[in-house]
Parts: sequence; structure tokens; C-alpha cells
Amino acid sequence: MISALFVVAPQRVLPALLAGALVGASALYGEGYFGDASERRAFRALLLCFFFPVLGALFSAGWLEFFVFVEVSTVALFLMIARKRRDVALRYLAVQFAGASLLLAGVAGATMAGIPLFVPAPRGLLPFFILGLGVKAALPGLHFWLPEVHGTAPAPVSALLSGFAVKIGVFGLLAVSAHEPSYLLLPAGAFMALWGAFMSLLQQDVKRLLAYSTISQLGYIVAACGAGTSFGVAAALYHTTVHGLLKGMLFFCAGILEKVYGTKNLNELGGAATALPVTFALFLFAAATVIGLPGTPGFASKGLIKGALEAFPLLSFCFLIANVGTAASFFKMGTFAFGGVRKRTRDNIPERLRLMNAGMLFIFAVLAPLALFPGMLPLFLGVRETSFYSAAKCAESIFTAACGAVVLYAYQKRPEFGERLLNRLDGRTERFLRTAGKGSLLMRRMQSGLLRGYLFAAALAALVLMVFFSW
Amino acid sequence: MFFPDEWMLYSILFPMTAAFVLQLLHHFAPARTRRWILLSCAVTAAITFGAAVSACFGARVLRVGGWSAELGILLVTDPLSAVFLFISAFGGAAAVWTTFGPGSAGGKDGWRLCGLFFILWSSLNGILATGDLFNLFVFFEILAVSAYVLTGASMTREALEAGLKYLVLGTVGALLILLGMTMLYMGAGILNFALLSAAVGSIPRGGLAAASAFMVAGLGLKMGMVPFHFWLPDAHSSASTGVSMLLSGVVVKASFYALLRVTTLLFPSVQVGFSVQEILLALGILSLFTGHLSAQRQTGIKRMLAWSTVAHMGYLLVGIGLGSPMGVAGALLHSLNHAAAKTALFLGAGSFSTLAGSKEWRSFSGLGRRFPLQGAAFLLLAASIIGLPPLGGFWGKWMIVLAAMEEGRWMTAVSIELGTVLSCIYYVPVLLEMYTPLRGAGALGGGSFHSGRIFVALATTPLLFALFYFVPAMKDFLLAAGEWALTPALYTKAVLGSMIP
Amino acid sequence: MAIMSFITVSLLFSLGLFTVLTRRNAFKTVIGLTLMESAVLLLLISWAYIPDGWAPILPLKGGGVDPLLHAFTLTAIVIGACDLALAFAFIMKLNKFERTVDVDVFRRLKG
Repeated sequence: MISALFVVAPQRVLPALLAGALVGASALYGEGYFGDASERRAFRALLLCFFFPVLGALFSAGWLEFFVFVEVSTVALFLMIARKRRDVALRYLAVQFAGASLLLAGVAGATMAGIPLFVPAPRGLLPFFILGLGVKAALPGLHFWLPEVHGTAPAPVSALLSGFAVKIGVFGLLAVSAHEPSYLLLPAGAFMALWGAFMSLLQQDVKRLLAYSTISQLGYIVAACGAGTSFGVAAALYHTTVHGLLKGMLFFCAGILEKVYGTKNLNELGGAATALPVTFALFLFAAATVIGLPGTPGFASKGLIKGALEAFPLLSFCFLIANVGTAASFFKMGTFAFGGVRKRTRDNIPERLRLMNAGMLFIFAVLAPLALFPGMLPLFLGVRETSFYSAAKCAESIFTAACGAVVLYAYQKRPEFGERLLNRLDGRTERFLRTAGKGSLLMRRMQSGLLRGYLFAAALAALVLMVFFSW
Repeated sequence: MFFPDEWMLYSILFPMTAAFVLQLLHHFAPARTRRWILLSCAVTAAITFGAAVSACFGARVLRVGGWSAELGILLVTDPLSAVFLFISAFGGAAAVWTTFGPGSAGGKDGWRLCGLFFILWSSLNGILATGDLFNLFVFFEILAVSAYVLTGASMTREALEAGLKYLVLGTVGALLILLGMTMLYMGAGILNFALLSAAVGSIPRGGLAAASAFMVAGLGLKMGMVPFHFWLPDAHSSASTGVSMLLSGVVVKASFYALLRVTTLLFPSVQVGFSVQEILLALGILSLFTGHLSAQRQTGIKRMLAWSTVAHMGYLLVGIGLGSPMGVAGALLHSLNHAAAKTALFLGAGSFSTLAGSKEWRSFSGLGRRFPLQGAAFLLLAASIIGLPPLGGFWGKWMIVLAAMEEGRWMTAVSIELGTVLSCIYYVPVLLEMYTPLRGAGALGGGSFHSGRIFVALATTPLLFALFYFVPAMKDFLLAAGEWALTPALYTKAVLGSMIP
Repeated sequence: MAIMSFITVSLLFSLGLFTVLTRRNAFKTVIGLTLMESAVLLLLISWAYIPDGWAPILPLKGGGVDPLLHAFTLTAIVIGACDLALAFAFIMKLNKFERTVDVDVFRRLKG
């Protein structure tokens, strides 16, 4: 029975390696991040509770096992977030389980029809899978939980969330999509990329900036999934790996800034380049990777994705614009947090800082080979790509980075415009969840305590039933 | 097989006799009453268990007094009743042991109630074993009267008010059942399940519609179906711990069994031309949402658990409303799970309330750390009731979801799982408060956890019932019971076939 | 079944229902319940009647009316009496606490 439960294939091994790298790096980072010994113990235990179900999910053969393992890993993440912010954690759990409700309907259909993972699902079941997994993968409309949760969780947990947990949703989408272009996922991906890049430029909280950037990069991955070719699948998985690792690194960096300076607000940070040199260097590498400058693994992965989407020129243009936005927002993070005059210092414990930097270095060590040998991973996935460093591609990426710098400069001339937009757009959907919770109060008014009211309801219901039955 | 047919009769007679004997015994030997109560409890549980096992493999028919089906009363148990007899055996035993077991307060003063517990148990077995509508009504009324008294027995203002409301609404329910039975008798002239099931085609449609409406309304009221559920949160939350365990865990399941029997035997859609099952499905979804939404923001733990019962009865209704063997099997598995988990949760809630000194769950701060074993048990049970895979509570819902998708009812399937979302919203804060209190551990009443051993024993059921899905023999048994439920011809043949000399 | 019986049953039932739904005195609620029950029992007895029938007690003098429904009615009367006694007990105990028998005042449990 075991051989029927688990399947090993390159497209499953790669995310598993990503998970392993992130969990290892988080463990290292967590030793430094959490000051309290009991917090560290709890974090280590919960990391294991997260890691093994995730492995089970990635290697499971059937949808039911996948579903069970994903739910368990969600609970582990919930517990990790709940140690810091109970209300946010509860909202996260509720939204993830709501997505799971839709997914379960699809899983039930697939189980009855005997469809395992990586076999395209029939058209009737596809909406359930897309909506259910879309909550995890932050598809537009279903993404509303991501900025708040990824922004307020503790840094190593955000790294796991942004680096891996959302990728499980993408993995599921890959496992269910057909081998033809999906006219749902392609525009969804483009919209996510644009929206994420735009909103991350407006943010003033560094972790929310990174969270929106996650949505943006997920857009690239989702569009590559939607392309429907095996080249697209390989591109998606490559970018998943690269983005997962580098988002981990960026969240670690944000966590270091938070611990050292005591704030997440970009307006209050500054001057970290001289105070935290190792962190700054690693941040530069990570930012360059996100923007996709030549020489970084991000350049190779974005090149692959652009190659997968060659057939859709309009989408390629959208992604170009999104790249500009990404560049602008990371230049913003770099200049605000690391550049400029040192604004304030809180505590600066060298050994903990060293451990946190060690976590970042661990990820760098994993990413560096990808930078030096960009063709290695695609070959592992079965795709041969040789022209990574063509002149056109290099020029394109440097050009977008330059445009990003220009955009940031223009934005900085009128910061209040950005602030107004931020207040109007951000947080709307979070408020929606809060108002939805008030509906239950209305329900409780029914139980009024009046016996005559209860009797009236019962009599009326019996009468209505009689009418219904004789119809 | 090796249990003779009479065991189902003994499962009714023994507790009934024991009730009166024990009450008398107290006058003669007050110090030893508790031991005899526990002994009777064990014997009743064993007999009921035996009756359940004997019914697992096929229908068993007992002609009481030797009278034939038209003239006399038949006791019939089959695989469907077997499931609920298991629930009755274990749930009843747990409740009686909690109230009268060693270390409980029930022993000294509660002897006044011991008779009622056994009468209630006896009537439960009666409902589960009967083959006759009249008998069903009588046992329902005995059950109801003992339940009303037990609810109000703690004599607090809330309990008395809850008891009165339960009484009034329960009497209305009994009236509706009586009306339904009258209609059926007026149409067919018999009250025996098997004969009535064969004769139901000859009843005119209008009368049948009225009869089914009244029966569904009446039995639904006894079960806590929305919109007849108003008595349930009050009664189940104001009763004492042992009584709540019995009411929420076992009594509503017996009412559900009666509803299942009556609707599948007497009003199958094939014969009657209208679909009772659609209505049950709709009411089930309504109960589900009402129960879960009303449980949000409840501050009292027992009231929260009571509303959760309303919601889970909704799941059961959806299961039978889908009309397929997988759906009914899912409802049966969920009954088993919910009975075990809710009984244990009420026990845990009662003990924690005594320790914390208050019924509010916010006062449970840090109790999970102080009592690690019992805290973990509570966690496991709550997770099972929420429906987290791979614990037992998930598999019943999974089978119902499978059945729903089979019929193409995706909205039903999504609603079932949305119930998980809604229930984790109100259970999880309680668990979080128990383990990581916001304001540090509060001042706690002294003492140890009452009935801890039963609690921990019951807490193994989530893991146990997960096996039901994976062990093929058990899953086949449930599917066979579902098949049996949906085919009235099987029941009729089994009962009447044994009539042929 | 005679049309008069049917009208009487309907009237009694409606009266009982009306009492239960509109009266605030707990005793009147219980009386209403009893009225409804009596209505249904009257329906049963009326249905049992066979023209020119005699009471179904042995030895029979000619034809007897349907005995099953009579047995049913007796049982139901007993159950009704038990419920009634219990209801009174509850009301009196509640009266000691709340000093009233107004059902609208018994509203501690809500929400």
C-alpha cells in the first residue's frame, strides 16, 4: 500500500528540496530571532510538524492524501503564527479552511473518478480545484488574506509562508491543469503580477511590501502554469524554487531589521548599510535576484518564464511593466532601510545577529550554484535551455531596472499621493472579514428566550412543511 | 449468532426493573446503593452491547408474547439499529459512571435520580429496538419525561427554565408525532413498521403528505432540527454534566434513528411520489449553518457545545437527505464519532468548569498546561469534532461529501466543509485559551480532574473511528447498513418472512 | 367519520393552539397543550367508531369498535397526565424563584 500512496518524480523532488532548504534555514534563523528559550523550542517542534506533512503532500499519489497533509501543515503554520498574533492566526486558519472546503469538493470528485495527481482534472471539477487552491496561491480575489498574514507573522514564519506555503497551492494547480493554455490562469497571473508590484511600491511597512511582492512573483508562476506546455511547467517550478529561497532571505532580512531597529516602518528605518554589512550584502543579492538582473538566478528563471509566455505578447508586456514596479519597490526598500542616515538603534546582540545572518547565508549557499549554473535545474526538470545570457535578455533586464529607479525617483517627489492611494486601496478586504463575523450576532437574536416565540416558530414550520409535502 | 433474540428485550426490561429496584434499595441499604447502581450500569451496557452485536449481521425479530405482526408488538433490530445500540451502550455507561462513579458527588444525593437515568436508558433501547409505531411513541414519551426531569434536576433557575421550555416544546413534538401516527392509521389500519411499509402505497397522497409532514416535524423536534431546535441549547447547557452527556450524545441520536427509520421505511420517494429526502437535505443545511453561526461568540462552554450539537445533527440530516448508501453510511459514521466526541467534550467541559470555578471558557486559562493528559484529550476531541483530517470526525463528513459529489450536489459538499471552517472559529479560541492564556493562568479552584480516566478513554475514539474508514470490514458494514436503510423491501421481507410458520 | 367530530376536533385544536401562542400565564400554556392533546385524542376515538358498534370489552355484545385506537388513547391520556403533573411541578418551582408564572419573564437563557 505504501508504494501506491507515494510517487517520486522530478517535479515533486524539487519543491521538496526547496522545503528542506527553507526549513533548515528557518531553524538556523529562528535560533537567533527568538529571544526566549521556550519560544525557540516551540518553533523547532512546530517546524518539524510543518515539514513532514509538507513532504507527505508533495509525494502523495492521490488527492485525498494531498488534502489531508496540506490541512495538517496549515494547522502547524497556524500554531506558529498564533504564538505572536492570535487574531491574525485565526483569520488565516479560517480563510485556508474555507479554501479547503472548495478543494474538498474537487478532491471528492477526483477520488470518485479515480484521478491521481498530475492527471488533468475533468472540466466540471476544475473550478473547485482552482478556487480552493487559488486561496492558497493567492489568485486575484482570493488573495485578500496574504498581506495581513504574511506581514504580521514572525519573520521566520513569514519566510515559510511566502517561501513555501503559497507554493503548495501552485503545486496543486500544476497537478490539476490540462496541457493546453488556460485562459483563466494566464490573465490571472498577469493581474497578480501588476497588482502586487503596484501595491508593494505603495507600502510603508517593509513586511507588507515583501508580501505584495510575493503576490507579484506568484503571478509569474501562475501564468507560466497557465501556458500549458511542459516548458511552462519547468519554468514555473524553477521560478518557484528561486523565489521561495530568495523570499525567505528577504523576510529574514526584514526580521533582522525589525529586531535591531524595533520597527517595520520604512519611514523610520535607515542607515543599516553601515550597521549591518553582511545583511546588506545579502540583501543586495536577493533584491538583484527579484529584479532579475543578469548574473543572478532570478535572471535565469524570469528568462525561462518569458520564454514560456512567448506566444502571448500582451502578457509579456504586462510582465515587463510588473518588473519595473518590482524594481522600483525593491530600490525603495534598499534606499529607505539601508541607505541614508542612521535613524535609530535598539538592541544589537552580536551572537543572535550572527545566527540570523547564518540563516541568510545558508540560503545564499543554496542559491549561488543556481546563479553560476542556470541550466542545471531546467535539465533536472527535463527542459534544455542554453541561451540564458543572450544580449537581448540582458539589455531588457537592465533597462527595466533603470526604469524602476526612475519610477521610484518620481514617486519620491510626491510621497503623499502614494499615501492617499494606500489608505484607499489597502486593507479593504481585511475589513470585509471583520464585518462578516458580525453576521452571527443576527443569528443569535433568533434564540430570544421567549417560549411563545419558539412555539410560534415550531407551529409555523410544521404548517410550512405540510404545504411543501402536499405540493 | 450466539446471542439469542431475547437480548433486545432484556436491554429494555433490565434497566426498567433496575430503576425501581435501585430506588427501593436505597431505603434498605443506603451505603451500598452506589455499588449496585454501577453494577446495574455495567450489566445494562453489556446487554445492550450484546444486542448490538447480535444485530450486526442481519435482522433479528422478536415477537413479544408470541403475537403475530398484525396483533402484537414486534421488536426488530438490524444493522442500522446496531450502530445506535453501540452508541447507547457506551454513551449511557459513560454518563451513568460520570454521575454515580467513585469520586463523584452523585453518589450521596443523586440516588434520587438513579432511577430516572435507567428509565431513560431503557426507553432509548426501546426506541432502537422497536418494530411498531405505537411502541415508538410510548418509548419516546417515557424518554421525554425522564429527560425533562433530569434536565431540571439540578434545580437552578436556568435548569428549571430550560426544563419547562423543553417540556412544552417536547409535548408539542409528541403531539405532532401522535397526529402523524393517526393519519397513517387512518390511511392504512396498521401500525407495525413492516406491514405499514408494505401498505403505504395504498394510502391517498394527501393523507400521506400530511402524515409525513407531521412525523418529520415531530421527530425533528425531538432531534433538534432547525426550526424546531429552540429547546436544545437551553436544555443541554443547563443540565448537569452526566445528563448533558446523555442528552447530547445519545438521546438526539436515538431521535435521529427514529426519523431515519420512519422516513426510509414509510415514506420512500419511490412509492409516495414526493421527496422527503429533499426536505431533509434542505433542513440539514439550515441546521448546519444555524448551529455553527449561533455558536460563535458564545461565552459559556456548554452552550457552545449544545449549539455545536444542533449543527452536527444537520450533518446527519444531510447524510440521509442525499439518499445514497454512501450518504447514509457517512451519517452513521458521523453519529458514532459525534456521540463519542460530544459525550467526552461535555464531560471535559464539566470537569474543567468545576476546576476553573465558572462555566465561561475564558476562565479556562492555562488549564491545558496544568492537566496535560486531559488537556491533550480535550484538544484531540475538539479537533475531531471540528473535522480535521486524519482524525475520526473527518471521515464521516468525507463520506457525506463523496455522496454529495456523486449526485452532483456541489453546494451541499461545500457547505459540509464550510462547517469545519465555522467550527474552528469557535473551538480554537477555547483551545488557545487553555494552553496559552492571554492574561496568565487565573485563580483556580483546587482539586483534581473528575472522571479523568473515562475522559481519556473516550478521547481515544477519534483515532479509533478513523480506522472505521480504513478497515474494509468496518467500511463494508457501514455501507451495508446504509444499503439496508434505503431498501424497505429488505426490512419487510426479513420481518414478515419470519412470520411464515 | 362524522363531520361534526371533525369540526369539533379542529375547533378544539385551534383553541388549544391559540391559547398556547397568545397567553402569558404558564398555567394557561399548559392548559392549551392539554386542549390540543384532547383534540387529537378525540380524533382517534371518532375514527375508531363503527356504526352500531359497542365498547370493545369482552364479552362482546354484537360488533365492537376498533380497540387498538382505544388502547392508544388510554396510553396517550396517561402520558398526558404525566406531562401535566411534571409541567405543574416545574411551574411551581419556577414560581418560587421568579415569583411569577409569566412565561415571558422566564428569559434567562437566550442568545
